[in-house]
Amino acid sequence: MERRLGVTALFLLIHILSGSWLGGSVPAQHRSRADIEKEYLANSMQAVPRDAFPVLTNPPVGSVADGDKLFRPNEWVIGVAINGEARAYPVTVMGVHELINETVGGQPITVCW
Amino acid sequence: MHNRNIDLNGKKTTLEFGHEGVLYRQSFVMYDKQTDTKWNHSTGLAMSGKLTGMRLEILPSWVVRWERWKAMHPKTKVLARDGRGGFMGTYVADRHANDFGLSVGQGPQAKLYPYDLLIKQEVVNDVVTPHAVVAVFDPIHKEAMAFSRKIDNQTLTFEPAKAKSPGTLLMRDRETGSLWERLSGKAIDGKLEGKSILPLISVPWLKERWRQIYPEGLIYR
Repeated sequence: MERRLGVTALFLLIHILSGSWLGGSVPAQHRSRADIEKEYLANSMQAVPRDAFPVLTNPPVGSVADGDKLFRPNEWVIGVAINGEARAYPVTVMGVHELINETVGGQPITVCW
Repeated sequence: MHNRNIDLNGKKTTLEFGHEGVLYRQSFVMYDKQTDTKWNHSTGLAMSGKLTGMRLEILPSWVVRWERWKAMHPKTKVLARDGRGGFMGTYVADRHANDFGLSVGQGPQAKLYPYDLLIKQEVVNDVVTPHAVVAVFDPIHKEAMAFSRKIDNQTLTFEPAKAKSPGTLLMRDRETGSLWERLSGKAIDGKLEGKSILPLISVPWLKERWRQIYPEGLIYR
């Protein structure tokens, strides 16, 4: 948990700092693969190691009653509804993982924040 | 929220993603375990590696309070996991409404609807190529969503409507006079009762960060 907080704090710091000095060319509509890659490299940085954020794959699913136990009524959730199946993901839980490989209504999706 | 299925050389392939640890224009980058391509999660664009130039389809999603989501989907399932934290989890619109906008659409056509404007207008009829769009807002809870205004070959125009009970936010279309729930996009009374308008890609986004990703993107004024 402490390591996780450390990773988050570092990510936060870089989030804030990067805004002021990241410049570079403007993403345009129609660019060659080489141009896309070049612009990516010019405007990105390794903030934390790969996989430092614990991405989830098909995590446990609960009912509305479970949701009522786990979430506050006014808490923000990301909601998806696909092929008649609905799913909710609390934003503050997403803050820990940032990314989930999920399947909803038979459809493989990402959930990210 | 992306569709993880892509067409890879004519074959349907399901990608699984990991976190690259890279920030691109203040937005995190993900990689896929099948091809090791690096993807911008905000736009779905592959920026480095084998699939560079490809775009993941983004799927519509809501960012609303648990209470609201439950009312919209009484049989919803949930992520059964606790463990709160992280930094991005604190970025929600109720505390910093003026810093936020609703990004509608994907790629170069994406358009931003600033919350300071939605607070005043609540229901905005507009166009985000190629869709006739309505952006809706709950000025109390700062929940926002966008839908297509086209249904059954008819394009509707919406305006805010008075709710019978507090907590329910409604709108009415001028063409049929039907009454709609604003955040679910479902008609609850009138000629179109029982129908739903199509949700569009809608993401609450810090305005300044959105500008980093879409330097030439349109902002509704």
